[in-house]
Amino acid sequence: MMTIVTRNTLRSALAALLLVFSAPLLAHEGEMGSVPEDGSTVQGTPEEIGIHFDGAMRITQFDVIGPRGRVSLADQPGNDPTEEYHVRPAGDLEPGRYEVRWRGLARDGHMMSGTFRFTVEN
Amino acid sequence: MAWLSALTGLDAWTVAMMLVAAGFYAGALLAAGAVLFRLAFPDLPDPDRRAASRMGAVAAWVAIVLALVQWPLQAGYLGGGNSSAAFDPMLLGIVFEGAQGTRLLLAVTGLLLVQAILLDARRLWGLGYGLSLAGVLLVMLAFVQVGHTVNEPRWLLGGLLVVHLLAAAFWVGSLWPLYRLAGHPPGGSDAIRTLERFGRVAVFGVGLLVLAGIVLAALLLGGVTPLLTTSYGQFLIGKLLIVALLLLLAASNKWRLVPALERGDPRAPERLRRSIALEIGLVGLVLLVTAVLTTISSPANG
Repeated sequence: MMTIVTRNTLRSALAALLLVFSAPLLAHEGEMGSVPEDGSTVQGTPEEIGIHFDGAMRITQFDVIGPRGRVSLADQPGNDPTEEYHVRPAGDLEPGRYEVRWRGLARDGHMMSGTFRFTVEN
Repeated sequence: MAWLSALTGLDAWTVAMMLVAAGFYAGALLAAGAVLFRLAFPDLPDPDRRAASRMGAVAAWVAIVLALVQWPLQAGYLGGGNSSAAFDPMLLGIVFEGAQGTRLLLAVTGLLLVQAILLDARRLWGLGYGLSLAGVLLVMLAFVQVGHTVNEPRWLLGGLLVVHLLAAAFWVGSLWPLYRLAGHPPGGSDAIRTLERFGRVAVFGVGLLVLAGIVLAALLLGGVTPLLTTSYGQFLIGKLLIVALLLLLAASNKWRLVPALERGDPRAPERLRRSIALEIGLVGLVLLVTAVLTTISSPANG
């Protein structure tokens, strides 16, 4: 009797474990994409620069660094939780390589950061 | 290697965050563990009982200070990793309003309650135990406010983390009291009885610790591949390797050194103490790896 019970328990445990490995859970907000795309080249000043998340994120830092240092930005949203964070360059961007550095706080309390780069051509 | 590229290029701010997180983990686990140890071994000799309580109380204060230091560190990180951002009221507000703020409040309240372990439980009819256990519960709740265990199924993930942490706290909190006990005069029956009983309780506790940890990791990672390819998975493997080493030491203590102590082997106390001291060092390393993996990587994004 004991053996059967033990065996059944073992089988259930094994089944549960297999189920566990076969069902990935959705984890917290991640960066889904950026505008312009990371590594892309754009002709002229991009209309907007931004990132897209698969969950609400409070962006606390969003710096665009270009050949002449930090780019001044217009229409910078506040830091309310958002899935879309977009800014506009305040003036024209001169040709060169640009890097965007951002930091934010995810809903689950994780501090997140990321960078993406793009090149501006005439 | 993903783990190596995650570590290279770390700024000083992030390194500080990791070190403070590791210290907070150590303090909180030691404080909670001291309460659990006292509860599991109510008949300890007086000096050892007081030493365990003092350890818990000091650890709780250290954890309170480090939890408070984490607040401006997190605000500073969000502002780009500098000290002016660390004291920016808006950034401090953002951190406090979120999950980290809830965690801070629960942790500090819980760790203050843990101080009740210093009350003499014999005279105060269990008031000390009751309050300090409530403190342990709040500290555990603090840990499930932040990170991937807040995702669904939250009860399962949070429950697994609490089981994992309670077992870890018991183990971590036992090491210093056991180190003291192992130094008692050879043949001290109190010490041997406690060490032997710890060995029996620990098999169960460590089993829970490892099982809950593995199921939790499997749920969060969703497979074996991320274990090998992501920096989170690779740090986790590193943590598991150190834990395996710890288990070897613990097994050798239980099956070799404690029986030798019982037989009155004159070299046994010193060897047991050395082994426990090594365990303490390895636990420190495990907590450091855990802080690295929770600070700079995530099961979602590597």
